[in-house]
Amino acid sequence: MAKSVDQLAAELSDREAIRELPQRYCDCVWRGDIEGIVNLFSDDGEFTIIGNKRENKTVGRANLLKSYGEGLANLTPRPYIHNHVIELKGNGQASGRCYVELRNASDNMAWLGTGFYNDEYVKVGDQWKFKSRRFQQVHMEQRQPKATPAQD
Amino acid sequence: MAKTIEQIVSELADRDAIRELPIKYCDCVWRNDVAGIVDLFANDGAFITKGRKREHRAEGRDALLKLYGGLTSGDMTPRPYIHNHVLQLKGSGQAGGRCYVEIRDAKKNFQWGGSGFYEDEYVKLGDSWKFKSRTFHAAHMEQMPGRRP
Repeated sequence: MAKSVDQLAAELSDREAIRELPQRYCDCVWRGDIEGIVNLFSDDGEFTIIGNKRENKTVGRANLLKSYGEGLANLTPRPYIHNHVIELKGNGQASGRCYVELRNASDNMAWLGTGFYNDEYVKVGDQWKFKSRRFQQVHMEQRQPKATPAQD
Repeated sequence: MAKTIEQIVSELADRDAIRELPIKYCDCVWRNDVAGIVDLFANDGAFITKGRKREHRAEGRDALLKLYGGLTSGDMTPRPYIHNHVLQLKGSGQAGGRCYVEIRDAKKNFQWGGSGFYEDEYVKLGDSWKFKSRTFHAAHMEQMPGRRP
């Protein structure tokens, strides 16, 4: 059965709000707005980094605040998001995937790496939030160790 | 109170029109369409460049035509890609937003030329959304477009 105008408008509105989540995430990372990042997640939201050999998962608001605070203090990534695809699942649930390029503000914006996010979204009240983000690293440049003074 | 269907559709249309502004801006820069760039601004629109030490402001149609007319006169021919556009509707035909840009240089085999972000203010004039102001913050630029060595 064809969708009603109300259904179409609601779906378009949902997709627009979801599409903005990764954009706002990048905007917050650029500005070092830790609280802004975590506000994009549901209270029980999860963020997982998947590297070559290990997986690091952070769950819940307090842990996310700590993890992003520490992560962005050690690194100055400047992300650009691309290729966001979204699937609405109904009942305030959705999923998506988007791809990221990272540059490093501490190194003249040199290319830092790339990867993609597998996202789950949830509608909390009127707002869409990240239920989980799983960042799959595809390629990351090796970080140069900080130079240390020569020891006599 | 839940939004009416008319409100939802109106907001979606506004957001889509605003989202297109920075994309059209890049498209015009790529094609060296100076009049096209300036047509994206309100008649009293402003473009501001903020560097570490100084700020340059061009305000009004004539000043903008002059500024963008010199876009390719320097050592760099900018070819921009826009990313991460976030926007906020403020009501009464006003909106704000921020978007991030990477620039490659057509004069140098499309080498990476730099990056930064725009703080934008948008205004609805008649049926069209326009830039009320664009403030460019450089994150890192190999050199600024239009600037002679």
